[in-house]
Amino acid sequence: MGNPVPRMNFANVRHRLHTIVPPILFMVVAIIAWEIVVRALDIRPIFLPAPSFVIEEAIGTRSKLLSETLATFYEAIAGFAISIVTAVLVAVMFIQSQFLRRGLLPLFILIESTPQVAFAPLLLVWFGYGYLPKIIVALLVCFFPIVVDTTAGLNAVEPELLDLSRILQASNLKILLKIRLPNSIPYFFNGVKTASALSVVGALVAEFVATDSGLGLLLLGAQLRFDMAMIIICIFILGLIGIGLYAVTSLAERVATPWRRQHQS
Amino acid sequence: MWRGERDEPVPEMKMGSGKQRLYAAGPAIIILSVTIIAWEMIVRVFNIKPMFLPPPSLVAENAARFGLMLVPHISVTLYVTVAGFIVGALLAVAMAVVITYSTLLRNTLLPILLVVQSVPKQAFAPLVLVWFGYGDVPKIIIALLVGFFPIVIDTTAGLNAVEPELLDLARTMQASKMKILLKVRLPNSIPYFFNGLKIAAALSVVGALVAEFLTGTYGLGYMMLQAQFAMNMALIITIIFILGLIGIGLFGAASLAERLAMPWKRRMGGGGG
Repeated sequence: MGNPVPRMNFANVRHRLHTIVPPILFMVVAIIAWEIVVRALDIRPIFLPAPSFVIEEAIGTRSKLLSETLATFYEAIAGFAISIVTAVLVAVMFIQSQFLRRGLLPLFILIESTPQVAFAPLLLVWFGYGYLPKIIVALLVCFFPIVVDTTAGLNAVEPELLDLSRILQASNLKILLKIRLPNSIPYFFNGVKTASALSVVGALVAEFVATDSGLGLLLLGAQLRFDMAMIIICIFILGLIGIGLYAVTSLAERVATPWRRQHQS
Repeated sequence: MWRGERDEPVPEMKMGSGKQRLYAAGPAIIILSVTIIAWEMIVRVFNIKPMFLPPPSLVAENAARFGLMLVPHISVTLYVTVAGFIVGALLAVAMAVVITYSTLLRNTLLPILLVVQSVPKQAFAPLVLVWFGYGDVPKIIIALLVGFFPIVIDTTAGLNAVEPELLDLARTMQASKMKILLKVRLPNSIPYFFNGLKIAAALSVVGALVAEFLTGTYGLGYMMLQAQFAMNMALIITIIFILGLIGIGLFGAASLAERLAMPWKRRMGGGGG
């Protein structure tokens, strides 16, 4: 899909508007309808609070909301960042050692099917409470997709290209740097986009188990108190974090591969 | 936005003779065995307290002792996971078809799907629990929610990724929308569907586990929390292992279904783009 970078002409801007405006309009209408329905049918806030009620509660608890949001965000980002570094290192190591790759990669693919969040209680026994166990859970969750995808990318070089480089007597290191790494970039970003969503899941579930901080704690407390408004607020914040992380990784991908335009309808 | 964008670059193990498969699995088996042996030796040599890291021998012993007691919990978790997985898959396919077929429903439902998609679905667990209480059905709903989205997204992509020429051809033959759906779009979407299905297999286990973390009455999630409070490390490790087996089993079942539905796919073996 090698489209050249689209220019900012009139047709273009209009097309962009056509895609962004309807969903936004829809959300605004949905929220207004939500408010009207709750008031008209007199629905109890325990079951479904009105948007006005939710916003009121959000403003009322804003300092706590902010501190817990930052905690969860920090755990997710830290786990995500560390996982990227370690995953790329391991993927490169797989290129150097066929044995390790053939041994570990199938195991990693298997582990991807397991619930990595199940390690949360184990990590909590080891590291107690605080940020570290949650960062490690987020790391675990992000690590495997990135390793598997990046390894695939490092390997998926056309054999002819490898033959050519060997004829030119390129060292293995040069092959790695000049051919394999650039080739792996799209695959890498595929894994990174998957991992960005998973990092929040990892941090959140670790907080569910630890019950000491973060949006997981807020959600748990809200559930026990039947505080539906707080549940909705937390869901909304988590959604924003998810969208934010995805947007950042998409931006990074576009910067790294400017020739590539993935169009999705 | 989904992992299925790429065309299976993950190096598949060659489906050759039994000997070939053993050769392919060799390094993995070696590494696993070495890890387990090293684990046992390190714990003994450094005299690590079993509460901190029990050796494999102790884990196995513990598993044998607690095994029978775990069975009802295993069956609960298995039931919730599989039910959520299957119902989620069915609903997801239905939703994908509805979105593709009806422009009206697509304009209403797709924005909702996209918005909800960015939220970690586990965050909906407390909401489901407040609305539906504690029991098996809410847990199934949570497991369902988690597995639902990858399948909808991938199947919808598959339903839509038909070459325009094929659609034009169908229309020149005056095929009705329904016929196009059945004969062209659905078969085209099968690989995409299985891609999402395999992802959903792993996620359904997570969904069931998280539901059990929050409801705490039955199931492996509940047992794991109990083991955590009792600092029974060996039991924690055993349960992690069992959950892993459930995840792998479900993934294997989905892969098996994929191979049955698309028997031509496997002949290609090998990896690479």
